[in-house]
Amino acid sequence: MSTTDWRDRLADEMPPDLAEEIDIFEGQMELRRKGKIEDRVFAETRLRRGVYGQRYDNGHRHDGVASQTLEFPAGELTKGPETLWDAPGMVRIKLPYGGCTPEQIDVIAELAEEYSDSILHVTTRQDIQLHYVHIDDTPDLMRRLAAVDITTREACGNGVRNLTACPLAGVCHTEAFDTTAYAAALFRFLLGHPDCQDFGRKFKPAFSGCAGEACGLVMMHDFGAIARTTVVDGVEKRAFDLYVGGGLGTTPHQAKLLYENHPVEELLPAVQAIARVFGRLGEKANRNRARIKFLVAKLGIDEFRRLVDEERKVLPHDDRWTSYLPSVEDYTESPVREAVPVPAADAPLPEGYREWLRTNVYRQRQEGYAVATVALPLGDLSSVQARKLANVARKFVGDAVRTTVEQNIVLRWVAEGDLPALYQALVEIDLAAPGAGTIVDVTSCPGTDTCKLGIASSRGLAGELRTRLAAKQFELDEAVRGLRIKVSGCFNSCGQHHVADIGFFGNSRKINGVTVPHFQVVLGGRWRENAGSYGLAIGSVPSKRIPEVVDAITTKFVSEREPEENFQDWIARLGKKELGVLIGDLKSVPAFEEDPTFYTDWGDARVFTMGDMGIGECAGEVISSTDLELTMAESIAFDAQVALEEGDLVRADERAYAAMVAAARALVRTEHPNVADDPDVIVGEFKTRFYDTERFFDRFAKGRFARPLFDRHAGAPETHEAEATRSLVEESQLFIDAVHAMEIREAGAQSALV
Amino acid sequence: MTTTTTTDIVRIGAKIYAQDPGVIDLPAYVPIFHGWIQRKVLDGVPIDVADYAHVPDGPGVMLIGHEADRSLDLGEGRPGVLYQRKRDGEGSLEARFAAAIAAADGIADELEADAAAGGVAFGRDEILLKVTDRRLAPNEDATLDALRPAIEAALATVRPGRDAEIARVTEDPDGPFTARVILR
Repeated sequence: MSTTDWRDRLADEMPPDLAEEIDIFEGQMELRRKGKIEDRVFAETRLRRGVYGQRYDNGHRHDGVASQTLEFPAGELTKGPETLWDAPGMVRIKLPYGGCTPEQIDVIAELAEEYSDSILHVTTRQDIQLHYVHIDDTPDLMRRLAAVDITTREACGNGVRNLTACPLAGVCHTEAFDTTAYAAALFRFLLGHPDCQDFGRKFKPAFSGCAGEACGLVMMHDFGAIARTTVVDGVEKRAFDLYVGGGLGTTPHQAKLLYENHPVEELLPAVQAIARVFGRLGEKANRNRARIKFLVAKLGIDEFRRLVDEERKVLPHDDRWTSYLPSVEDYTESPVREAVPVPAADAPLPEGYREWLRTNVYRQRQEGYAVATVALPLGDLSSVQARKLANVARKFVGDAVRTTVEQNIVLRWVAEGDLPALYQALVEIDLAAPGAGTIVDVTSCPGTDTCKLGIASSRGLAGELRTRLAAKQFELDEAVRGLRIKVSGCFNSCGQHHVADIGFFGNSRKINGVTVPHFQVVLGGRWRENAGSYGLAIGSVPSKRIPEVVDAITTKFVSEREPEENFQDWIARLGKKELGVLIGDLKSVPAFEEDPTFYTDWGDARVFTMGDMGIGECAGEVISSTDLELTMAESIAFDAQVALEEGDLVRADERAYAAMVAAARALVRTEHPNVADDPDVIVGEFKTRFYDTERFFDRFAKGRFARPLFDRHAGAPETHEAEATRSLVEESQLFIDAVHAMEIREAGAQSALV
Repeated sequence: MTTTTTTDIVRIGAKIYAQDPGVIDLPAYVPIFHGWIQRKVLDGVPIDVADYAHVPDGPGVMLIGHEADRSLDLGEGRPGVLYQRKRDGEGSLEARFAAAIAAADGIADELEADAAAGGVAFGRDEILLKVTDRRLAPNEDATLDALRPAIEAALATVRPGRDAEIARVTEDPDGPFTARVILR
C-alpha cells in the first residue's frame, strides 16, 4: 500500500468517490504484485485509470545496432501482457472540453516535475499527458489530481474517453449557444456509468456549437452533438443534432445523423441509450472492428436509430437527465478584468505584437474581449512555463483557460485593452509564438517518441516542418499560411491526418533489403464543417523527403490555383494522377552508402531497424521480385484512388480488390513461386500460409488488415456505395502496408537467426 | 499515517553549467546520448532519448533512465548538465546528494571528452541542487535548514577543501525546492 502520506494529507480535499477509487486501484496494484490478479485483467483496470503503456515497455529496445534487454529491477513482474512493471508509462489526464484552471495547471506542473520529465503534453483530444511515469507513483499522482477535481478515470481503455468541445464555446460568433454546461453534465453522467463499462472499444464524444466551423470535430467522433436553436411560438428552443459512428483510425468514417433537432432534455438519455446498444451489440472479440462506427455501418443508421429508440423507451428514469438543466442558463464565465479600450492605432506596441494579434487572437462576440491562443510547439510546455502561464492566466483571465485539439492553450476573456500586456507577459515566458492555426502550427501524435504503436517519428517530422516553415512564415503566400498540417506516426490517426489539408501517417518500406521510414501523403481533408471530409492517400514517400513534398505541393498550389480557389477544390481539380506525378520523383531512396540519413528517422540518431540491413547484405543489391510485385500492387491501389476520385465506384472497387490480390500474390510467391494466377487460389494460399498461421498478424492489429480482402473476395457488392467503396480503397493501401510490414518482420526474424 | 522525513528524500537533482553555452549544438546531443546507451557507458537502466530542444528553457535533450534522468538541460536559460534521481536512492542523505553531484560531474566529464559535443566545458564551482519532492522537501527556508548539513557533508566529499555558499533559489516559489551552491 501507499508508502507516502499524500493519501492522508489530501483526505479532506479529494471527492470521496475519487479517493475510494484510487485506494481500490492501489489495492489492485498490490494484488498484481503478489500475482493475485491476472495481468490481462490488471491491464484493463490500469488503462481505465488512465495509466497507459509506453514504447519499450516489453523490456526490449533496439539501440540502432541490436535489440537490447532493459534490465529493470522488478524483473519479470508485469502490469499487463508483455508490459513490464518497471517500464515507464504515460498518464493521460482528462480535461473535459479542455477546461482547466490555473490551480489545476499548477498541480499538473508539479506532477510533471516530480513523476514525469517536466513536460506537459497537450493532446489532440484536449487531454494533458505525462510521459515516463512509473506505475508505483500513479496512486499519489491521481490523489493530487483528485484534490483539484481532476480524474484520469477512463482516460484510456474501453470506455468513454475525454469529452472534447469547441474551445471558443460561449464566446464564439457562430455558435447557436454555449455547449459547455451540457458537455460538463454529459461528462459527469457518463463517468463510470454502469452502461458504459462493457464496450468492446473506446467511445469518444464531442460537442460543437455550430455546424460550419471545425472546432468540435463532431463528424470524426463516435458520438457528437451540434447545437442548434429553433423558434417555436416565438420562443427560442435549444436542441442538438446528434451524430453517431464517426471515427478516424485505420478506416475513417463520417458520423451519421442520428437525431435532428433533438431536445436538450433528451441529450443524456439519448447517449445512455446509444451506450446500451453499443455495449450490447458492438463487436467484442475483434477489437479492430469494435468501434461503434463498425456497428453503425453494419446495421445502417436507420436500424441503429430504431434500436436506440427502443432502448430509450425502456430506460429507467434517472433524475440526472434533467437535474442540471435549471443551472445551464446561469452558466457563464465572467471576465476578471473590465473591458478597457484597445490601444490607439499609433500607440507604441511590443515587437512582434501585430503578427501575434493577427494569428493568435480571436475577438469574442462579447464586445471588448478576445481569446488569445498560446501556440505550443508539438503540444509541449515545460513545468516552469506552465506555472508561469497559470500566473498569467490568473492576472488576465482567471479560470477561463482551455486546451485545444490543435494542441494549444487558449486564454478566454482577455480584455482587448490588455492584449499588448498579455503578449508581453507571454513573451517573457517564451509562449508568444505567432502562427496559431496556420501551416506553422503543425499537429502531431507522440509517434515513435513514446507510443508503442508508432511506426515513424511523427514528432520528429512535425518539429522539422515547424522549424522550416516558421523560418519563412512571413514570406509564405496567404493561401499557404492558412493550411493545416497534421502528422500521425502510424495508421491509427491520433495526429488526425485525415482532416488536414496536408496530412501524413508513418509507415515503412524495404528498399534493397533495408527498412526505410516513410510517410503516406494524405491530401485534401476538410478541417472545417466539423471535420467535414477526409483526405485520401496519394503515395508513400521517404520520411526525409517529406519537407520537399510540402514545398512541392504548396508551391504548385500558389502558382496554379484559381482566384479564390481553396485547397480542397484545388486538390479535387488536380486529381490524384497529377498529384501522384508531383510526388513521384520524391519516392526514390538513395543507396545507404550514398546517403545514410534516409535510413534514420527525424530526431532519432539510430539507423531505422538496423537488423534488416543484415538481410539486405545477404540478399545482395538486387531488387527482389516481391518488391516489384508490391510496387505493382501499389500502382493498382493508386488506380483505385483515381477511379474513386472520378466517381467510378465500380472500377474503384474492382481495382482496390485487385490491388489486395496482387499484394497477397506477392507474398504467396515468396513460398510458392508457381502459384496460379487465380484469385481463389491466391487468397486460399494466403489464408493458409500467412493468416491461419498468424504470420501476417500485426502485434496489435492482429489479422485485421486481411479481413477486407476476405470479405471482398467472398463477393462483389451488389450496389456500390460511395463510403463503402472509399473504405475498401483505403483498406487496399493498408493491406499493402501490412504486407510490407510482415515482410520486414520476417526478414528481421531471419536476421536474428543469422 | 505514514511517517516520513527529509532523510527519505530520493528525488535529488544536481546541475552544473556550461561555461560557454554558445558552443552547444543541441541536435548533436541526440546521437551522443543514443551512443551512450549503445555503448553501455552508464550505470542503471538507461531507456531512451527524449528531445525537448523545441521547448524554450525546458529540459533540453534528455537521456531517460529507470532510476535517473540525465540531460543537457536548458532550465533558467542557462544550459548545463542535469542529473535527476527519480527512485531507488541508496545510502544516507548526504551520500545521495554526493551521488547526484558526482553523477552530474560524470556526465560533464563524458561530454567534455567527446569531440561530438563541440568542445563544451562545464564549470564545477556552481551547482544547482533540486529536490523534486514537495512532500518531503517543501520549497521553504526550513527545508534548507534541514538539508544543509547533508549538503555540506556531500560537498566535503565531492568538492573537498572548498568553502561553499549555499542559498535557496526563490525565483520560482511554487517550483520544487532548489538551492544554489557557490564554491570558493
